[in-house]
Amino acid sequence: MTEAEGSWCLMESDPAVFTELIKEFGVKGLQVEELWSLDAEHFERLQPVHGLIFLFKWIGPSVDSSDSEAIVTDDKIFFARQVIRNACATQAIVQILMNLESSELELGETLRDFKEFTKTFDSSMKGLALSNSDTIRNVHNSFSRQQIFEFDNKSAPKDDDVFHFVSYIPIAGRLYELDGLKEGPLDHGQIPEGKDWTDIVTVVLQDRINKYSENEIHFNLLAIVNDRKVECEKKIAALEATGRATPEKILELKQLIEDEESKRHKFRMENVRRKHNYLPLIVEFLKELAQQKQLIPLYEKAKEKCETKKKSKSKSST
Amino acid sequence: PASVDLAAGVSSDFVKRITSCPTTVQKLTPLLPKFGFSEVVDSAKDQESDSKNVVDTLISPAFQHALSSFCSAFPSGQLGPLVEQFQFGKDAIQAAQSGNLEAFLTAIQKEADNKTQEPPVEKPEDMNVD
Repeated sequence: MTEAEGSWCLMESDPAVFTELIKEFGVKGLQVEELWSLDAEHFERLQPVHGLIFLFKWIGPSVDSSDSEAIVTDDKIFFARQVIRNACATQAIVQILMNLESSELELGETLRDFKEFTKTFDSSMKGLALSNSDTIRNVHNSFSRQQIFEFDNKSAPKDDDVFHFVSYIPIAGRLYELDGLKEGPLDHGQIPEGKDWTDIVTVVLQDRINKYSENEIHFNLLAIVNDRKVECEKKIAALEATGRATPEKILELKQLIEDEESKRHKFRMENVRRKHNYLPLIVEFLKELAQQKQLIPLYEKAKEKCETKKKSKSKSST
Repeated sequence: PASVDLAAGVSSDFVKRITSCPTTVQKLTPLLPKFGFSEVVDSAKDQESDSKNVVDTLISPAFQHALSSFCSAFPSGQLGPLVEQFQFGKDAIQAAQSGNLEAFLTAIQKEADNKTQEPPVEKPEDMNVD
């Protein structure tokens, strides 16, 4: 049950996890949403989008040799090299939070102190400081699935979860890619006048996705956006203040607020489920199955299923 | 022998069948994740919602994942010390130490069979509701 001192657990890349994670860091006014496609309309719905986290299965160093040319050194950009495994999810979101320019955002004490503390550090030192931050690590680790068995990690298949998280964010009118495995921030160029940064980043992401063969890679895209509930409440207030509030408009916004609340409720439930220690339940479950004389039948059925699965697997691989 | 994943058999139909037994629901309910939301607490007396909570947990990815890890860790024998905390008989503990899942489950079944000869646990007074 105990994690070795200083180690970071693998975390799921799920909007529920990220939203709660940043809340527990003390961040106010933001949430994390999952994007299912790069279509403009999906971005439209979530605007303003502050940053993106792109998650993919890591297949070794980037093949893109032109990277080195676009890497910049800029003290104004918070960039931390990734020095330890498994922290990249938290690292990716922290990189974005540290660079946000929005005035509505409240970083909270933990991250504000951290930003101040690491201000003069180079990127490796920043990465080291991040991995050594007890507060940040503890919050991160509290979101890993409960490890009921200390050796859970060892028994897990070796090839799974070599996922990497990269952040994309607009800073001072330019699009940057922050990848903790690279030397520094990668400059993707100026965001043209009159264009939203998301118009540019989708092109970059599409290019990137095209480079990987389709069936080998899993992608996931998360957006850091304003607190949706607060946004709707503000809209209602603005409509009412200017006398433009129609019953339909208000109803629509109230419905959005309600949806958001029920979604958050679901998120909280998921996170509680994630953090629970299931060992006592498993034991009692097995005992109850025995009471109902269902235990051995379940075992036989599961055994059969696992065998057919194995057979079909070995068939397909030959 | 390769490890058997019990989660493969814990379908929602299976779970619904198992939780149609009130004693099972009653035994499992205290071990569920606690959400601490008022609406859940308020309805805790309600047998129907208890049974729904049990079903929801048992079919949740989180539980299924935990059960899978339990099964995949079992053959290593390292679950022995953990299992000892749960008042199992000698045979079950031995099976856990040697990493034999089938023997472990068989031992649990035997213990249950011996126990059924004891008088059944008294039911809570939920008959006079309404």
